[in-house]
Amino acid sequence: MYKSAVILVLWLSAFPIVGADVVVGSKNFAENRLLAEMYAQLIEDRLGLEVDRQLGLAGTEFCFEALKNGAIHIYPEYTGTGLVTILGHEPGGTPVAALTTVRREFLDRWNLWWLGPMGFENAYEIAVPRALAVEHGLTTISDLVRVAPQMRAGFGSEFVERDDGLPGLERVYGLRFASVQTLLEAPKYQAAGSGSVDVLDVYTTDGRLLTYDLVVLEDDRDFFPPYQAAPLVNGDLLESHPAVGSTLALLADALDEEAMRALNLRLQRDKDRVEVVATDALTQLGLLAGREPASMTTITSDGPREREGFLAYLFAERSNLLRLTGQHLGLVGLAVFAGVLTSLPLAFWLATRASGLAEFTIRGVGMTQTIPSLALLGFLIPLLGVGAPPALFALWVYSVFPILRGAYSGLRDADPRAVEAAEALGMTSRQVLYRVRLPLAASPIMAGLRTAAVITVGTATLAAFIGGGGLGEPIIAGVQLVDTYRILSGAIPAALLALVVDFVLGRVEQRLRPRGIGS
Amino acid sequence: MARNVPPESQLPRSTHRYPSMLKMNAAQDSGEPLLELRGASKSYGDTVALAPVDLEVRVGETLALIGESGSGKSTLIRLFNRLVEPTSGDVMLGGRPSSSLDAVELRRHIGYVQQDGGLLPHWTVRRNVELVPELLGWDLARRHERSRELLDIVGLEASTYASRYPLELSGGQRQRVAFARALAGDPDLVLLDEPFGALDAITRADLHDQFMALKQRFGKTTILVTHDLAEAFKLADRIGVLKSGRLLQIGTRTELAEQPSDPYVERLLTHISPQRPC
Repeated sequence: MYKSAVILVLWLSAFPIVGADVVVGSKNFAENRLLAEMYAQLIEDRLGLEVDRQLGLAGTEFCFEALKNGAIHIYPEYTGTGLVTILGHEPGGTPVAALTTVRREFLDRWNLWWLGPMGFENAYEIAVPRALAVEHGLTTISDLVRVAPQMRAGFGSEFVERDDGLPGLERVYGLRFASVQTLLEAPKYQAAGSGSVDVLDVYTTDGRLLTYDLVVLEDDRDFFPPYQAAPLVNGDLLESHPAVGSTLALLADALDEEAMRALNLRLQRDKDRVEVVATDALTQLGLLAGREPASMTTITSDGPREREGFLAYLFAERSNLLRLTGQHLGLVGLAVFAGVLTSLPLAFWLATRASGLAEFTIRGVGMTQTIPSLALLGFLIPLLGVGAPPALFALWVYSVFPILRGAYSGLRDADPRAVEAAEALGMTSRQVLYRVRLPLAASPIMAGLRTAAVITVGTATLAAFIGGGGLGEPIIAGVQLVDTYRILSGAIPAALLALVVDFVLGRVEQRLRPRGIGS
Repeated sequence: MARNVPPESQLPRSTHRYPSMLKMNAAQDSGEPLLELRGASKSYGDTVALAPVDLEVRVGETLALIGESGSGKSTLIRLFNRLVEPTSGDVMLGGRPSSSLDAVELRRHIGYVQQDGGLLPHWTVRRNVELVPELLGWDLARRHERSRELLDIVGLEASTYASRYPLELSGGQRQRVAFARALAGDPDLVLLDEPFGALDAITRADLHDQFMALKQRFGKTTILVTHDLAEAFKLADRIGVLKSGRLLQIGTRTELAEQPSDPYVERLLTHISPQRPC
């Protein structure tokens, strides 16, 4: 008991301290993470406030919900996204009109503040590989309409859904593709590079436009709305910490598209760490106190560098990975523990009831397994915010069914002759349950628990989508950045963790299995 | 219904008397039946498991119930320890309706042996035997003494077998433990549901001898369910024949042999060699 208390404390200490002054969030792509990290460092450096980071939340919806309910205070947003995705307006209009509209409506409706735009636009655009553009003579999106029925498109999942994405594009231009695949950012570029996708959506500032030699097609009907990047801030924070507003105002007009593209390239191609790139950018902008301002030109990348080997990478990342592994184990341990506390009493209760009720209940609980995990996490943000709590809740929900199923079957199917003898010789039904059924069900109960634990080790990687931490962080970041080392640095420990958890619980099962019962 | 009960003097007497749930001593002294079924029946929905039965059992008597599977004999025996509740009629135990007795308390005073043990596999032999004494709240020393005594009586040296688990015993040994367990709480009544059914012929003969020795020694009122007529003839004072949920006839060996009341009983008896020692 003492030991587990120590472990719990250690694990909790792996999480950011609750009640930091400012919580900065970001969406789950490189540029957005970088901007958020720049906000965080700037606030820390200038104001000496304690800043908590919830980077890599799974998309606009997650960030916006978290901002509204105060789970995060700031994240980088784009005016076009605010206008079309969040407010539901028609795409189009000038940059100034878009900014004015979102400022007014966000303030009125949610007390959310758009601070000064940072100077660059990161709009959606449509791109094709250069060879294809030359072959078909494509320079505008209107040119694309002719040949689109023979082309395979690869789009991001948000783009496919958003009104300022594919649906609007089809409406305004009459575009129809041979096929549309929904892809994550990094694989999308890889697919274009390898020729398995002919058309893709890109961001203006994406450094990979250069690396994959893509041609951006002109939006000749002005369909795409302006996407100026700006800090979107919760009004309550500006009230309690007004200086945050003036500090972030320092970033207004600080970066143009070219500078942003260069910074993105350092993340996407050179695999530099977000924190490092953010510090460099702020230093070069002259915004970090006590550091020499550097010339803006050095922001550009030096080109791809040789990387150290995988083992060296792991070694360099060891303390971070250890922390993430601790978080991961904590998430799994706490969720499964809560699952046991829920499932076992329920199984006991059901074991003494009519089997019809039990089957009905277990089927009902089984339905929870069919809830897509991202959808569940999305539902939870308004209730539990972001970070560990919603992740724990979701993992707990998924762990209940396997434990309940195993425990109930074990208790119900315990050697009927032994159970009858125990009843016939005068055990109360409680005694039969605890002294006969329970010990005889030890193996199936533990089997359910093992299943739940191993599944949870896997599912817990999704916690990173809502800032819950754990080994999903490097996996998700790595997928975005096509950084195999980073993916593996999360995936391998997660797999090992699953094996270790299964092994340890297997030993526990052996210890718990009563003597006299064969294996 | 024909009833032929041996005179009191012929029944063996228990040497010591524990407090009796079923007021056994009073029943013994007054000559009233210890157990009585009055039109007791059992149905599951429309299925009649047991048609109304009238039956009396006296203190110290061994009654065998014989019939094919599905004849209702297991249902009947379970009426006595309330594992089965009658659909109609009354089950009288020690002169009181069974429904007026606490089922759990009652069962602690009724020994029970099933086919192939029903020993708790996660408990040692000793703990199995001490199950009922433990439920009755006997202290440890008394429990241990009792389990040692009974294991010795059933031919299992306590020092060798007490700490073993059921899995480590042969089928015959497990049944011996089950008998010891059934007797450990000094019950008023012992119910045996095909206790020899799963044993090979030699082991079964040994266990029959064991049964007779226990009967001689403890003189417990016993109801034995079996599908083996020879076994019933060998072990029981009276025999009840069941078929399709009906009690066809009940009587001593002689009564059954000389006045079979039903063609089924008659046919059944042709399978028994008349020379067979009883």
